[in-house]
Amino acid sequence: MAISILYLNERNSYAETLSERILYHLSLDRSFSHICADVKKRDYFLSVVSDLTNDKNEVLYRQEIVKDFENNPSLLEQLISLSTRFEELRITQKTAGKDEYRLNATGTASSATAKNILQAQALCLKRALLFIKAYGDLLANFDLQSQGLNNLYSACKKMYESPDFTKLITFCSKYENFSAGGYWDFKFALNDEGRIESYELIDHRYIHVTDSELKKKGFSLFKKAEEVTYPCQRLSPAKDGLYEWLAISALSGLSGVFAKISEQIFEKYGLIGRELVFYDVALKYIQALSGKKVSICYPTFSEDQSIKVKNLYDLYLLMSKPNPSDVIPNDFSLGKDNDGLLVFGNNGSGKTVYLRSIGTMQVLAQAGLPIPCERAEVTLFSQLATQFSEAEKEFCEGIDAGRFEQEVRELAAMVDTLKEGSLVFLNETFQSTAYIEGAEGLYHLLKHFSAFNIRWILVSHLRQLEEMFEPNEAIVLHTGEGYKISW
Amino acid sequence: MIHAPRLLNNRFTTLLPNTLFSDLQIDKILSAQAIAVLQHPCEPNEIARRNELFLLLDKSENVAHMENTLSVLCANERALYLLKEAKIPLDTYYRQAELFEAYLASCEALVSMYGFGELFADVADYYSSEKSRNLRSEMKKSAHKIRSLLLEMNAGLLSFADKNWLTPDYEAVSEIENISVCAERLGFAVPKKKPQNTKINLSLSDAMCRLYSDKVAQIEDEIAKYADADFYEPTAYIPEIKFFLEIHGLIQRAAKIDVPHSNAKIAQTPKYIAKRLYDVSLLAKKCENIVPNDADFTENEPFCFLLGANGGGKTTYLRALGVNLVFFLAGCPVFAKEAEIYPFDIVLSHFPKDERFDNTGRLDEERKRTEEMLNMAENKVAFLFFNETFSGTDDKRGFELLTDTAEKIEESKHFGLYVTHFHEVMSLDYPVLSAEVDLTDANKRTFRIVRSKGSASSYAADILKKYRLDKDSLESRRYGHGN
Repeated sequence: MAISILYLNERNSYAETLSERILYHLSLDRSFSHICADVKKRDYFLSVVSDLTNDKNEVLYRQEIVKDFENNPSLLEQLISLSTRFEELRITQKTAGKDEYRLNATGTASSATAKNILQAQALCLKRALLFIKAYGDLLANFDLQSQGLNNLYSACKKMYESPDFTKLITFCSKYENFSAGGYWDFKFALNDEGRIESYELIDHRYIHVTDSELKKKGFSLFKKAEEVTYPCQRLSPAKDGLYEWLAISALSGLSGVFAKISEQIFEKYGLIGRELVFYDVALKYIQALSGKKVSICYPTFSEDQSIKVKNLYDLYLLMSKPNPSDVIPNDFSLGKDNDGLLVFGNNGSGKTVYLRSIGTMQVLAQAGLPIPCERAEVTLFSQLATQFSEAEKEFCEGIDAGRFEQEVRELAAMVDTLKEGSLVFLNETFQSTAYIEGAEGLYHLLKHFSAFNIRWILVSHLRQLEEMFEPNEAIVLHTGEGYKISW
Repeated sequence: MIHAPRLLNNRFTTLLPNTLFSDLQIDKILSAQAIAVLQHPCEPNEIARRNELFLLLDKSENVAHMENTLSVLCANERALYLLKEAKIPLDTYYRQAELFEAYLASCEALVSMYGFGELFADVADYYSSEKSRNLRSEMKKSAHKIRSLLLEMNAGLLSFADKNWLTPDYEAVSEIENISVCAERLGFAVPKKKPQNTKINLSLSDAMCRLYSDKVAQIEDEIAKYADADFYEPTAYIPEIKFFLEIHGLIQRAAKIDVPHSNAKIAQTPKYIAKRLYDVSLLAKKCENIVPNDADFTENEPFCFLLGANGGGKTTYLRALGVNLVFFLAGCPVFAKEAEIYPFDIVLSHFPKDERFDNTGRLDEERKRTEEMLNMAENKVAFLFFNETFSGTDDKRGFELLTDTAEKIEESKHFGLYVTHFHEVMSLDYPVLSAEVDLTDANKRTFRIVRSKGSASSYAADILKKYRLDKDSLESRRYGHGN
C-alpha cells in the first residue's frame, strides 16, 4: 500500500468531491493564482482541496504535517528535492522496462541486450532502495511532531534496517556488474511432456565439473587422493539458437523481478513527491497570509455541529487588494440548533463576500489548512454545494430554458443529490422572477433542506423571506455600514 | 487373429449418391464425415442396434460419458502423432510414455462403454478379454517405470563459459528464488514466473542421454517390449463415435426449436408413414418455426404428385420425407412424432440443376438423369424424389415425359414423390397432394400438405412543479418517496 502524507490508510470519509463550479463560485482558483504562479502545482493543490474529507482524523493528520513543515521549511525543500530525483529514477526504470518490451515484441532481443537491461534494472532497484534510506536519513534530522511524517520515517527505517535490505542491495550490485565474459549458469527443469518449463540463472558455486580433458593435459598431477569426480557432460554446439533464447528468457526473468520490486517501491513511496506539492502550496499560502500580517488559525472541530469563527477574512479580497486593511473581517456563527442563516442587504453591501469567506473557510478547514481568522471552531460536512446567481452569459448550456428555469434545474439536481450533513451556499437565488414567487419557492426549498438536516446559508435581497420564517427556524442577519454584518 | 469389432458395422453395399445429399441439403447441416456414414443404408438389424444407442444418448449423462471417451481416444491419436513427429531421443521417450498412458486410458474408456447397447457391448467385450487385460497390465508397469526414470532425469544445470557443461542439479537455488525471499521479507510481492513450454534440442537431449545413460537403457528396454502392439486400434472408433455425437448434436439443435425426434418403427412391408414429420435441413437457415407434415406412402399408393403455390412448402415437404428417410436408413432417429418406415434399398432424387449444360440441352439432361435413376433403382425397393423434373420444356412435352416417368415408376412398384406445377396431373390416376394455407394458424402464413381430390404568475410555479421543487412535490419527496 502506498504511503500517503495526505490521506489516512483507513480513511473514514464519506464526503462528496467538490465540483469545479464550487471552487469557481468561491473564487478559490483566483485566490490561489495570487499565491502560487505555477499552474500545475496550483491545479494539483486545488484537486486535493476538492477531494473533500469529513474524516476529522485525516484533517488533523494534515494539519500536523502542515505545522511540521511550517516549523521546518528546509525539510520540505529537501524532501521535494529528493522526491524529484526519485521521480526521475522512476522514469528511467520505466524506460528500461519499455526497452525490454520493445526488444521482445520485435524479436530483436539478444542475450547481450537482455544482459544490458538486467544491469539497468539492477541499478535502478539499487538506487530506489538507497532512496528509501535517504528519505529516512533526512527525516531523522528533524524533530517531527506529525503522525504522517513519523510514519514515513518509520516505514523507511524498518526497511533499511532489515538484513534483507542489505542482501537485496548486494544482489543488485552483483547484477549491476554482470559481465558477458564470465560464467553464465542456469538451472532448468522439464515438465511431464519433456519440455523445458523453467530456466533460471543460478550462482556459479552450484556448478561442479570434472573436466577429463584437463586431467589428460597433466593437471591430474595435482589431484589429491580424495578428490571427488563430478558427473558432467559437455554440450555440443547448437545452431538452433535454443541456448541463446533460453538465456534471454532467464535474464529477462531476473530483470522482471528487479523491475517488479522497483515498481512496488515507486508505488509505495512515489505518492510522496506529488503530495509534497500540496504542502508546498500550503506553505506559500501561509507565507502569503503572514506577509499580509493577517493572523491565521488552525481550526478546531466542535462535537455538537456548532460553528464559531472570529474575525474571518475573505481570502480573495486579501490576496487581490494591495492593502489588507481594506478588507473587513466578520464573525460567523451557526449554533447546533440552527439549520440556516439568512443574510439580507442591498446590492454591494458585502453579502457575497461574506458568503464566499464562509465557503472558503469551510473548504480550507476541511483540507487541513489554517484559515485567515482569529479563531475558529468548525464542523465537518459531507457535502458542500453552491448555487450562485450568475450573469445571463453564464447560462450557455440549455439555451432552451430561461434563467429562472436554469436555476430551478440546478437546484432540482442539488435536491436529488444532497445528503444529510451537507452545507449549501445560496447567493441571490431566484432573483430573476417575481419577488413573491421567488421568495415562496425558496422558502419551501430551504424548509426542505432543514427537514433533511442539510444546513444552508442564503444571501438575498428577497426580504419577503424574512417574514415567512419563524424566529427559531433560521438566523437572520443584515449587512451594515462598512461591510460589517450585524449580529 | 481377432480384430477389434467396429461400431458402424454395415454389410449392405448400396451407396446413396452424393447428389441426394446436396438435393436434400443434408450437406448444409452435417459434416462430410457424417454424410459418408449416411450414404450407406443399413440392414434392419443394424438400424435397430444404432437406434438403441441413439435412445441411450437421450440421457445427458450418457452423452457426457461418450464425449469423454471420444476425448480420451483423441488423446491417443494425438500421442501417436506426436511420437511420429518426435525426432530427438529424449523427446521420443516422453512421447512413448504418453502413448502408453493414452492407449491404456483409451482401452479403459472403451471398456467403460459396456452399458451403451449392443454396439458397444462387442467393443467392450473385446477390450475386456484376458489377452487385452494382460497386455494393459504389463504396459501400465512399463509406463510407470519409464515415468519414474524420466522424473529422475528431468532437471539439470547448464554452465556456459569457454566450455559448456551439463551437470545434475544438486538442489541449486535460482537467483530469482533467493531475491524473492529477501523481497518478500521486506513486504514486496514477487510474481511467480509462468512456466515455459519450450522444446529441447538435440544438443541438450544428447548430453542428457549421455549423463543418464543407464536410465536411458532401461527406458529403451521397456519400450522394446511393445514393438508389436497396435496403438492405432482404439483410434478407429473416433470417426464412428463422432458420427453418433454429431447426429445427437443435430437432435439437440432441433429440440431447441421444439422439433421432436423418435426412432421409427421398422416396417416389414414397404411403406413410409409418419406423423408430424419435420424438415431439419431448415436448421441451416436458422429457421425457428418448422411446419410439420404427415407422410402416408403404402404399397397401395406408393407414388404421388405434389402440387401447390410457389413458396407453399412443396420442396420442404419433399426434403422432410427425404432427409428423414436417409436418417432412418442409417439407423438414426427421425424428426417426427412417430413413424413406421420400411428399410428401402435405395433412395434417389432428381432436382433441377444449374442452367449450365455442356453438350446437351436441359430437357435431354433431365431425361438422361431420369433414365439413370430408374436404371439404378431397377430390381430394388426404391424411393424416388422428383422436384419439378421436366418443367424446363413446354407444357405438353413436359407433361408427356412426366406421365411416361410415372408409368415406369408404377410398373417397377417404386415409391416416390413428384413435385410439379403441371396441374394436368389431377387428371391422371395417381394420388395428388397439394400445399394449402393452414387456416388454423392465425398468426403465420403457413402451408400444410393435404390430400387433394400559461400566465406570468403561474410561470414560476409551473417551472418549480416541472422540476418537483414546488411545495407539494417537495413534501412528496420527503414523505412519499424519500429524497
